[in-house]
Amino acid sequence: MSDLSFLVRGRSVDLVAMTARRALQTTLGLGDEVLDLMRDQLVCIAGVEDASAAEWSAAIASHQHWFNPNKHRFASFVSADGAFAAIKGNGDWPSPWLREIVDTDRPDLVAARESGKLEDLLAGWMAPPSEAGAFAVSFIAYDLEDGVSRLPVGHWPGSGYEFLQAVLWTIVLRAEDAAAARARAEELLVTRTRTSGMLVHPHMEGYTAVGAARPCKTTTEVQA
Amino acid sequence: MSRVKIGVLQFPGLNCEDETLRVLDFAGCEGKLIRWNEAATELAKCAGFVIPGGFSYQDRVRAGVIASKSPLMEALAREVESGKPVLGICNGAQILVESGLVPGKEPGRVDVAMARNKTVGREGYISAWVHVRAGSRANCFFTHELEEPFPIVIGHAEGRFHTRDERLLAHLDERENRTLYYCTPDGDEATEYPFLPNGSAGALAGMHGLDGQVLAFMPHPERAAWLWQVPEDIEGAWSVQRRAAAMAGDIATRPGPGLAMIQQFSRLSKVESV
Repeated sequence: MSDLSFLVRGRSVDLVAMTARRALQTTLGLGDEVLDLMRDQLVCIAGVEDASAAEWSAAIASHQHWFNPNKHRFASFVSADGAFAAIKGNGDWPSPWLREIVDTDRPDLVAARESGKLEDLLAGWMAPPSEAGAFAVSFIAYDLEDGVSRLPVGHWPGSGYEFLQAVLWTIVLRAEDAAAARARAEELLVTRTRTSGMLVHPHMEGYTAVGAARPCKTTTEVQA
Repeated sequence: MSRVKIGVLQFPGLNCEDETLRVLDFAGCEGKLIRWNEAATELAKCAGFVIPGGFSYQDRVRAGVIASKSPLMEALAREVESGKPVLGICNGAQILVESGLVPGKEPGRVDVAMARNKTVGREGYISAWVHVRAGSRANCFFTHELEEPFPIVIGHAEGRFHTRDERLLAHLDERENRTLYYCTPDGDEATEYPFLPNGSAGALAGMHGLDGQVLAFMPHPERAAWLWQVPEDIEGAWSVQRRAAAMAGDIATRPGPGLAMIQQFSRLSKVESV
């Protein structure tokens, strides 16, 4: 019995992420220190057992509850053992929170999927190529209260399964090194005062970093 | 006699500015619309401010957070420091909370969240008439002499005052410390839906900043400012008044329960306006 997680991202401009990025760059005056900001929906379904992970993944992709193929791209994963239980207890999303790639419709990530290199897939998913000296830092932001919902009946290999939702924020920024990038990204993430932080409200949301800050590949490196 | 000038701050997506201006006029004040991209010096021309309801920046990221980062809010914070009162209604309340002006224990620090509505038997957006009353020790500019419970209308999905600050929660344990809280028509503290519509900590409908000059209020006083706006069938004395006024044929200009809060601005008329 495994937990299944999947990421969904819009195909076109994400107005929420764009507005947040512009507020950071312009309103809060960070300028080109912040290079990009991306937002994904992250869903974790508990203990799928009435079908294989691949069948579940196909069901999610064909059902438009979270995913509309005309609007979104997705990737699904078997989660780390005990992932859902850890999250449900208002704990952090476990790290590593994903164990195995099940499926993705992103052509640029198919090679990573076929090679089974989860880290490559995640790095490619979470941050596009950027400029030299840029780092990408990803955080999962989740409701601190019990946010468990149940899958509605029908369209799924089973019914009554519990699921949790979170947001995966990826901040691409300039920094001297990975540690500085991680610390700065966390400052931008968490709302502490009127002039610092924006994406997570610590009085109602928790967050956890997904790995360390990653140097972004440049476009030239990707093309090569 | 000149009327006190009250600025109505508008951010993209707020949509109650016209009603708010009308109510300010009804309350004997002069409302002045100030848009988010106007010079901050416009604020100095006003004696007080209202941030009306709506959906600033389409509630992107979180209700009120994008507007709270605006330079206009920084300028508003300076006006608050000089003692000018500010009323945030619904999304305006969310903006005040996100900007740290409420509760304002430390300048600009964000200590309270406006979480999704969640109470026993109900979650999500709700539009309804409810009853609220003021705590007797609240010492807020806008609840001056507001003693009786009164009916008022709400319309929000994220109106649940929520904090992890244990000291603040302990302070709110005593209802008389609360600025405005949801209650039954008889005035008892609301503990469950429908009297408690959103599960707010301390049944809070409104919370003020430390000096009492800033109020974040989730219900809409501008939608209850005239007696004709009160439903005929709502429990309590206001519907009796409404039916009597309708029978007498003079309902159009009679004040409703929400006006008293807005009328507090007229107390500023004795203050010299720039």
